This record gives sequence, structure tokens and C-alpha cells, in this order.
Amino acid sequence: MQTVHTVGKMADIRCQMCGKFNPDDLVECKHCGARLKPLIAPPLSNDDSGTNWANASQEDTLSWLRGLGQDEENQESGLGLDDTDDLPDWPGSSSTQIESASSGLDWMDDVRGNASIDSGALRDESVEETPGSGSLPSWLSIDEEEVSEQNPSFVESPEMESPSTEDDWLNTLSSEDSLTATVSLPDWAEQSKDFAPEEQLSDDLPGRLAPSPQEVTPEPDDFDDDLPSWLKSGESSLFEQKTQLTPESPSDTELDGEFPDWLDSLSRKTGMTGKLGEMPEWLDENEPSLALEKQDEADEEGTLDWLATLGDVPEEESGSEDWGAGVGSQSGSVGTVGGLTLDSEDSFISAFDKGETPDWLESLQGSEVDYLETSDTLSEIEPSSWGLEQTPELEDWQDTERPPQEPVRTLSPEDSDISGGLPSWVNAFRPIDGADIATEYTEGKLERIGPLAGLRGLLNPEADIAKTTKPPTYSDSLQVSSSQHANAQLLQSLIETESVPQSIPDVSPLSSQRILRVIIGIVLILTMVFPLISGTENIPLPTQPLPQEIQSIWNLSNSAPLDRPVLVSMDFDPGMSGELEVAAAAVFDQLMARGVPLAIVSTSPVGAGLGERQVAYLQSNFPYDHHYVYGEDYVNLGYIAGGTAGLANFALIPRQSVVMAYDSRPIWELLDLDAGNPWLSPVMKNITLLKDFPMTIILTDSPDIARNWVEQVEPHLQDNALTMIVSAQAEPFVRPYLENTDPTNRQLEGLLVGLRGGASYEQAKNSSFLGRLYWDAFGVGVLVAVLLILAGGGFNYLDQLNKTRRQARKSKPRK
Amino acid sequence: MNLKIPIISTTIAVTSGLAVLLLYFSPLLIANVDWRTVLLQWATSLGAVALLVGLINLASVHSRRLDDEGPFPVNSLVLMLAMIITFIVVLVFGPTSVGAMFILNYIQIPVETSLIAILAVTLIYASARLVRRKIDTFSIVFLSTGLVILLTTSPLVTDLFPIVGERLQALRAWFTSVPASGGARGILLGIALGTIATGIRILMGADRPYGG
Repeated sequence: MQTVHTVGKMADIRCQMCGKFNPDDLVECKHCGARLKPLIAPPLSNDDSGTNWANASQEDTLSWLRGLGQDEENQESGLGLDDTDDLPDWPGSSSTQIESASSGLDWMDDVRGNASIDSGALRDESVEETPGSGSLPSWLSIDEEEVSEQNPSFVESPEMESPSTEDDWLNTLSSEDSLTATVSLPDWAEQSKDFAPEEQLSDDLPGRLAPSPQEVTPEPDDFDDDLPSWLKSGESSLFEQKTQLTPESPSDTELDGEFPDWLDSLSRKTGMTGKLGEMPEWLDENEPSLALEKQDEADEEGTLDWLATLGDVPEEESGSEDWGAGVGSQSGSVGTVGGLTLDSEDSFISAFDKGETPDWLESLQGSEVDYLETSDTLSEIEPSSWGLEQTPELEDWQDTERPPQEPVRTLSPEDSDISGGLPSWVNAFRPIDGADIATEYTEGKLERIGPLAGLRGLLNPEADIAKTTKPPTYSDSLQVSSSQHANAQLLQSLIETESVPQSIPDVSPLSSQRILRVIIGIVLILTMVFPLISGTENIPLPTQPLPQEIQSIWNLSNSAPLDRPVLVSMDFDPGMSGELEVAAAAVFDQLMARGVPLAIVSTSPVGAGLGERQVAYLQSNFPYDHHYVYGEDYVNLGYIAGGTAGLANFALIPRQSVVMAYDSRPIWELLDLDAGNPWLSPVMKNITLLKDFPMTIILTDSPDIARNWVEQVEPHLQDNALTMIVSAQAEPFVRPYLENTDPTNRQLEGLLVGLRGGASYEQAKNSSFLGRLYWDAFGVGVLVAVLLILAGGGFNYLDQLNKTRRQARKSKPRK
Repeated sequence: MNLKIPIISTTIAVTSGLAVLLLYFSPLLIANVDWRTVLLQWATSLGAVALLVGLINLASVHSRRLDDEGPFPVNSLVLMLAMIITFIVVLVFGPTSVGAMFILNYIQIPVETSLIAILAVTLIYASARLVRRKIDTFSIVFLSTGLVILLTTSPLVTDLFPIVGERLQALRAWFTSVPASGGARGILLGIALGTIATGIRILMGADRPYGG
């Protein structure tokens, strides 16, 4: 819905899409191309704020329908009827508007006849001051096009309950430059045009404008009770200040057997007569006995005669008098609907004949009633909830299906089969006119049944999940190409061969490979055992000067204090003792020759035993001047469990991490904890932390252990020098900790590698230990190993070559 | 949520790891107790217990083998006897007692050293078979490097051929300092990065080496 602005003499229309103004004669926005004018109806509001009640959001518009379903508490308590805040906007606003004479009850003006009704106006004084009084309540003025377009104009409007909202719908009722506002009176209103509105205002008002029961307190036979309750609620609010409702005496409201009271009153004024059977029985709701009697009769007839009577109203009369025709007249492009609205209203009212007063109508007496409606809500409401489920007209209407592209016919009084079963406000949503245009320009599925039949582009009331279409079936087989399949099979065969144990072919004891293996073993043993047994010293020890890393160990060993022990970690396996013990023998000898105390520790379970073995070997084979006694000259701290964590713990709190010495005490002496505490021994009296050790020597064949010591212990050593004696296989991994151009940042102070390092140390020390003993065997054994590899490699190469030639010879076909 | 995730063990591991990590940067003293060291002591004790549990598991496995039908498991019997005897000797008489050192000096060290000796023979045989199995660039480089290192290590070559020996010594030093140390440094850096990544994964609970 666009907003019309009058700028100077020219009325501009503001596009709701881009917000820019366009000349009034344009159909589409020149800026964004959006449609400026609806397909069916012209704009109903001049409000720039765009807060027209019709712009309320769909959610808000549904609220009044929800309110219709409220329980009877609101009805009983009359909530909202006394308070305009709780009232729907239009009644609440009407009361104030009437008082302020700003706009008035326009649709009531229509009821009473406005200026455009030639037959006379039932205009209120306050309404007379309002221009364009021919407008209808905006809930009746809902444009069918808007409904067909999913009602986008029913935007959310926070001012719904604010006074501005009152202006909205009232402005909607007000005349517009494109609004002719020609409203026809219903028949009954037309017939009552001569009688004073002040006196019969409440009688003539629709029920939604009727005073609330609390305000009026009508008698059971009161004339107001003949009105639908929803008419009452509105009336009470609207005219509580304007109109002093004076219930008529029961005598006046008694049924004359032919008409309801209010119609009877009208008939008295207009001379209209009829039969009781033609009257809707909801008008006789205070006469239940009478209503029940007539209900059976109405059911037998299957239709309501009085509706038929109303449907027989001459076309010229209905076209000019039906107030509901204002909907069509406002559109400006549709002819009069005639008795449609009245018919639908009456047929709608006729539902009360069945004693099935719909809840939503009852709730109109409640507090919150929004006279906004959307197509979705309507489509979701079961017809039974309207009380129309047994109405033949409605059933016929529901059964009516139009072809998809069939334009909606303009409703006429002759369409009583359709309009007679619907309330007028529902009919207001129907595409009365311009439907052809709507169907032409509106995309989407055509609604064929229901109140919104003929509209396109409606939201689907069903959730997509409710659609029970069978989901597509997808194949679970992997789509692969032939090459991919071949690769997959190859990979599968490789994996299968890995899992299947391969049978070892029976090899003859005299096979070449077995012979070669035996020869290698025998040669190695003989060449290495012979120098050991004979004790030859043919190969001289290395004569080169000691490398710097070995020289550092030498210097540290010579400068180690005698009052503090040197920490020695024996972190190697017994299998590597042949290399590491030889390498460490000279260092141990140097320390023990000076009488430097030793503290042995290990992160290997057998390392502590290897330390004991080393000390015992040296002391037994090389008698020193100072005999080493356990607890006095050396101590064995034993095994540090926990790997890296244990080593870190030892670096932090060595006294707490090791509390029992690795000694020869039997199990019955272990209860004496003090005797077994190595930290209480004289050797460790000056040691509290690792930094108190003057030197730390790590013997290991594992790069991981060496790395753990460097990472976990070295930061806590401070002045304590960390040195290592490692096997040849671990040298490449340890050497990076040593090689640093800045000597102060070296993590290792000294490094001694393998048998060669031990032999060099012995040569520098000018002593003869295990290094000298093993040196010849080592030299011969390494050389023999090289020769065996070369010889064996040559042998295998030739053997394989011969085998290949034999196979090639066998495979070559004989001529 | 996968309920099979060991929530308790994961929570303990992550909490302990985070606590140790945070306490490493900021020591926390509560009641004059360094909780970082407390946690480390717990880990150390658990490590010792784990070693004992491993020994018990090994004994139980081989004891079941002794009860099983079929060929008599001599190896399992020897292992069980050695374990029981060693355990009793060390526990009763002490780890540095005569009996315990006898077992170490005359049984354990020779056995393990023999395994290393067999390894030497096996490596020589495998090197000789290498040219039989597969001859390509990498195998030739691998074999050549091993031969050069052995030759430069052997004192006999250095002494018999002094001039060549010096050059071979220099070549060995280059191999050790440049290619071998370079490769070792790369491995150490990889280990460090892997340790960090593993630590983060454990702290995040993504890696649960403790099971689950």
C-alpha cells in the first residue's frame, strides 16, 4: 500500500519499497519499479506514518482471531469493555473520536447513511463534522488485493492500540482523493433511515458497537440482546459517552412472533414485516424456547427463508443501500455488491440458529479484539469454529472450485449461495472486483476453496513437513570410475596381504643364505675373540689431541671438589654396557683416583645396579689409594620412576623424590628409614638441590633419555656442569646440545662418545683400562664387518645375477 | 554427545595438565606446599605403580600360558622362574646384595649383550643382502654411508694407512657433524613440535592416550 502525499497541487504517492515519492498518475515507482497502486482497491489511508491498522503485521492481525477464541471469562467479566485500552482499536478509538468529533464512526455513518446516500443519512452529529464519512471501518475495507498478496500491508503496527491507530483506521474511513466512499446501507438500515439515530443508535448498531453488558446491563429481553454479542461490545465502547442507552422495557422487546426486537423496532419504523421463520434465531437468543422451536424448522428447510428473502431484495435497492457495498464502492472499480454483505452477514448470523454461537464471536465481548484478519488465519479456522459447518450455503461454497485461471466473478446479490454463508468481514477479503487483474498479475497457486478462494499467492497453511511425499531414494553404492575401482582393489589386496601371515618357505640347511649367515657370525666371533683372548695391543690408541668436549670432561673431573659428590646417572641398558662401561671407565677411574665422592642415580630399573657394578669393577681391578665405601664415599640413589615427570620431580626436589637408597640392606632392615635415607649419609651432607653437585655425568645410549636430562634437569643445575657419555649411535642426537658458538649457553659442557672416546681418554690419561683391552678387537671387528658386507654383497649380487640368467635361460624357448 | 567418552579420566587429565602448566609459570604455594611438585610426585608414584602393574601383567600372562593345553611353554616357565627368583633375591637380600649382583653380572648383562652381538651379525647380513634384494640409488647411498662410517671408525684402517686414515677421520667428523647432526636436529625439532601438539591435544581432550 502506498502513501499519498499532497505536495502543492499535485498528489504524490510514496513508494513503500523505496520510500520515494512518485506522481499520482504513475502505476509503478519510477525509482524502484515497485507497484504503487494496488491491483484492486485504491489506498484507503492518507496516513503518512503508515501505521494504518491494516498495515499491522500478520501476527497482530491474527491476534484478534485468537482473542475470539478466548474463554468465557472475558465475557463474564466483561474485560475490556469498560477500558478502551483493552478494546480493539477501532471501538476504543471510536469512543474518543466521537467525543472529539474528529472523525467519528465512519462506518456507522455508512450505516446511518452518509452524504453519498440519497435515501437519507443516519448521521451522527459528530460524524457530520468528519469529511469523507462514507468510509467504512477499515476492517471492512481490507482490500482484496492486499489479502491476495499475503497481506503485506498488514504490517506490524506498534500504534495499533495508540490513538494514532485510531486515526489510521478512521483515516481509512475518511475520504480520499481517489475514494468515492459511497456506502450503501443495508436493508434494515435503509428502512430505518427515517427514525432518529439518537434514539435507536444502540439498536441499529452492529453488535461490536453495542454497549457492554456491564455498562448497559440489559434485560434478558432487551433489544440489545437481539444483537450479536460482538455488536454489543463495540457499541458499548463507542457510545458510552455519547449515547445513554436506555434499555427498553420488556414489553417493547418482546417478540411479536415475527421479528427480532431490533428488527421489530425497525419494522415499526419502516413498516417492514416478516415472519418469524425468516428471522435469524440468534436474535432470539433470549428466547431459547422460541429459538429451539424454530431451529428444527430451519433444519428441515435446509436453508433460511429469511436469507432468501433478503436475497430477493431488488438489485437496485441493494446496490444502493447495502452498507457492505461500501467495500466495493471504496474500491472505486467495482459495482455495488448489493445484498451480498447483508446476506453474508445474515447467513453468518443465521449460524446462531443452530445454537452454535462461535467462540470468536463470543470473545468479541472480551478485551482484546483486533478486527484484522489474514488469509492464513481464515484458512486455518475450521468452519465448525464459525458455527457454519451445518450451513448448506457454506458447504456449497466450499464445494465450489474454480479453474486455476478462472477469474473471480464479481459477487452479486445473486451469489447468495456464496455470500450467504460468510460474514461480511470475510467477504471483504474476497476478490470482489479487480479479481481478473489480481489473477493476471499475481503469481502463485490459485486458492480454490475456502474463504480466500480466487486469490493467488497465498501462504501455504500446511507446513512443508506435513507434505507426505515419499522422499527420493538414493543409492548407497559409491559411484566410482573403473580406474578408481582398480586402484581400490589394488589397495585392498595390499592390505589383505599384510594381514595374512606369509608362510616361510622351507630353506635347506645347506642353502647359500644360511651358509652366508653362519660364515658372517663365525668370522666376526673369531676375529674379535682372538685379540681379546690373546691380549694383543697391536693397534695403538688414538694419538690425536682430545677434542674439546672430551677435554671439558677431563678438566671437570680434575677440578671436582672432594666435599661434594659428582652425580652420575647410569641410564643405559645392560646390553650396551660393553661400550659405555669402557667409555666411562677412564672417567670413573679419574674421579675415584682423586677420591671424589659419587652419587649414582638412574632412570632405568637396572641402571643403579650397573652403577654398582662399575664401582665394584674399578675398585676390584684397580686398587685405589682411597677405598670407596658405600655411604661414605659413594651412594646409590637408585631408580627414579616416572620417566620424564619423575626426572622433573627429581630436578625440583631431589630429597623428596628419592627417600630410600639402593643398597644391600635386607628386607628386615628396610623399616629403618633413616638408615636407608641416602640424604642423611656423609656423602650427601652438602647436597640439597641439584645445583649443589659440582658435576653431572649422564651415561646413556638413548637419545630420548639424553633429551629428558637436558630439558628437565639442566635448567636446575646452574653451576653444576652437565656432561654426557653416550654410545656412538646416540651421538648425532646429543651433539646439537653441545655445539653452540656461545660456550656460556651450551647445555652440555662435555661429551664423550663410545669406545673411541674412552680409548682417547685413556690415552690422554696414559692409563690402560677396558679401552685398551677392547681396542684391537674393536678395530679388527669393524674392519671385518666392512669386509663381510662387501663380500656378502658381492656374493649376493652375483648369486642374484646367476639366478636371473638361469631363469632367463629357462624361459627362452628352445628352437 | 558421545557418552562413551571417559569424562572422568579426561577431566582429570586435562585439569592436571593445565594445573602443571600454569604452575610452571606461576608457582602456587598453599599452606607452604608447592602444588606443582605435589602433582609431580603423584605422577612419579603412579609411574612406579605402573611399572609394578606391568610386571604383574607379564607374570599373569605367562602363568596362564603354563596352564594352557598344548606344547609346554618352556620360555614362559623360564621367565616365571627368573622373575620369581630375582624378585625374592632382590626383595629379601637387597638390590646390591651378592645374589642380586650375581644375577645382574652373570645372567642379565651377558644375555642382553649377546642380543646386541646377534644384532651386529644380523645387520651385517642384512647389509649384504641389500644388494640382492634391491639395487637402486637409495640403497646404494645407504650402504655406502654405512661402509664409510665403519671404515672411518675402525682404528685399524687409520693405523695401517695413516694418510688415508686422517682423511677418513675428517670424513667421519663431517658425516657426524653435518649430515647426521643436521638430521638429528630436524628430528629433535619435530619431536619438540610434536610434543607441543600432543600436549595441546591432551589438554583439549582430543587425544586420550590413557584410554577412551
